[in-house]
Amino acid sequence: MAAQKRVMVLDDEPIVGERLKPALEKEGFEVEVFTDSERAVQRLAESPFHVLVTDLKMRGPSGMDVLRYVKETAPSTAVIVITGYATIETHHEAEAWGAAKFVPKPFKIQEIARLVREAAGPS
Amino acid sequence: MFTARGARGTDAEGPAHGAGPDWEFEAARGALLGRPRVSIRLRLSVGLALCFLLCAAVVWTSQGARPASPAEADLANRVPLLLLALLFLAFVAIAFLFDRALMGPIRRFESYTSRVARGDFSPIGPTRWYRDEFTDLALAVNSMLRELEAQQNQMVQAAKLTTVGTLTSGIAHELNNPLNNIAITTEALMEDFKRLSEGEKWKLLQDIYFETERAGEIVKSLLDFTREERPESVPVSLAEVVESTRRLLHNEMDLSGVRFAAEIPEDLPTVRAAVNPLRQVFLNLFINAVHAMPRGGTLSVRAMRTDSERVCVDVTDTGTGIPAEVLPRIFDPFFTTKEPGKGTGLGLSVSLGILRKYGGEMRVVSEVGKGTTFHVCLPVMETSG
Repeated sequence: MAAQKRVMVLDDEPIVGERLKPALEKEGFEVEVFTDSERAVQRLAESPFHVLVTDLKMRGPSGMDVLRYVKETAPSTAVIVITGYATIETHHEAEAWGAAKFVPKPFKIQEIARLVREAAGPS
Repeated sequence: MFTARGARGTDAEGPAHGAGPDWEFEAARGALLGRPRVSIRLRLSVGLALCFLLCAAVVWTSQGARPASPAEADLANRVPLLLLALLFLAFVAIAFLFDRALMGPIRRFESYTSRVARGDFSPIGPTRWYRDEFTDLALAVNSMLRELEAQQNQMVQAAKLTTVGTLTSGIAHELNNPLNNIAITTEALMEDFKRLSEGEKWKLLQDIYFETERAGEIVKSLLDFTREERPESVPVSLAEVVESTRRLLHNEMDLSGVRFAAEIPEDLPTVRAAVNPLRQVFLNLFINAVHAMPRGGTLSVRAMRTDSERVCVDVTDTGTGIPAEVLPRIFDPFFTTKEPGKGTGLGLSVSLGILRKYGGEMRVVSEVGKGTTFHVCLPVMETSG
């Protein structure tokens, strides 16, 4: 069996990580959860992830900052943006920076699981 | 009763009162119309008719029949002179009465305009026992004042809604987070219901419970703010107003990296105001402060009693500051330096209007690059009992 695909979930709402982690692990992904965007960026610098699921509005670097950083340093990482502050502007901006998907909150766990599966590609 | 205006007086000292409610206008209208009409036209006609009669009498008596005796001739010479004197007196009386009928009301209306300019839209009431053309003018001015008042109220409401609008990103969107947490936790619970242990289920239900409370709090803070309330003066605790306003902006400040520090003495007396309008004032000041600190900073609120009659609050940010050339205009309606869509320029002018309505004041001190302090003062109003 191929190595597990690695997924990072970044959201300052702890419940999001707590709920997505088991659901994505059930799908066979290796999941790391962060609530602090600065530490998430550090972790992204250490090792690459296949998929990043990130919130937009956070203290410290915003999700958009993290998205830009990822696309500069590891363009192959697929980024799925989840946000409670969805506007047409943020949607366009996220797409312009290379986000694969833009999902407004509230979302369904199964929806995110499917998008992560699609973004990770065949294992 | 329209005596409300009488009590205030046309040259009332102190703050401009907000206009009275509709009944005050209705009462003033009733009082204005409920007096006998003695129009200027009628008075003018009577005066002129009197003068005409006197003139006719002068002419008639001077062309009378030949006198029978010298004594009669003497009398016949005197009568026209007497009538001329009466005519002169009649002219003087008419001039005097016209001065009173015209100049008095004109001066009164002059004082009404300065009262209106101060923002006092209370209706004009009767000042004389009769009514005339100036009463018609007073009625017309009253209906204009009523319209002005309605528009003023609309402006305050519009400014309030705009303030709420600027909070949209902070609050309406903020609701999405607890809603999302509830949605995904419920989904997890339904999906794995059979596999989860009792303890795990309990934990998930707890999450749902607290996230529902959180959503409720967000909605409540917004509703508290938009609720219509009678803007009567009551004793208001500044500490409570500042705290509830901070809660409303908590998320916004957090995301902008703004630290909040309040220094409000516990024994600070209550002030004369109404809770929601005062909250609107602080909300405007806090939002401006947060916008002035895009890279974070400190928003500090310091309240103190300055003398036996006033409580003052300093709202200070460590933001970009306001350039000196802009500073004198910031309280002007529709003046804004914010980009289109971010501000209407009504916030500060409406806030100042609210403060003045309760006898308060607001000043500003600012230094570019260092920050801005808004100095808000309100009269003390002790709670009775």
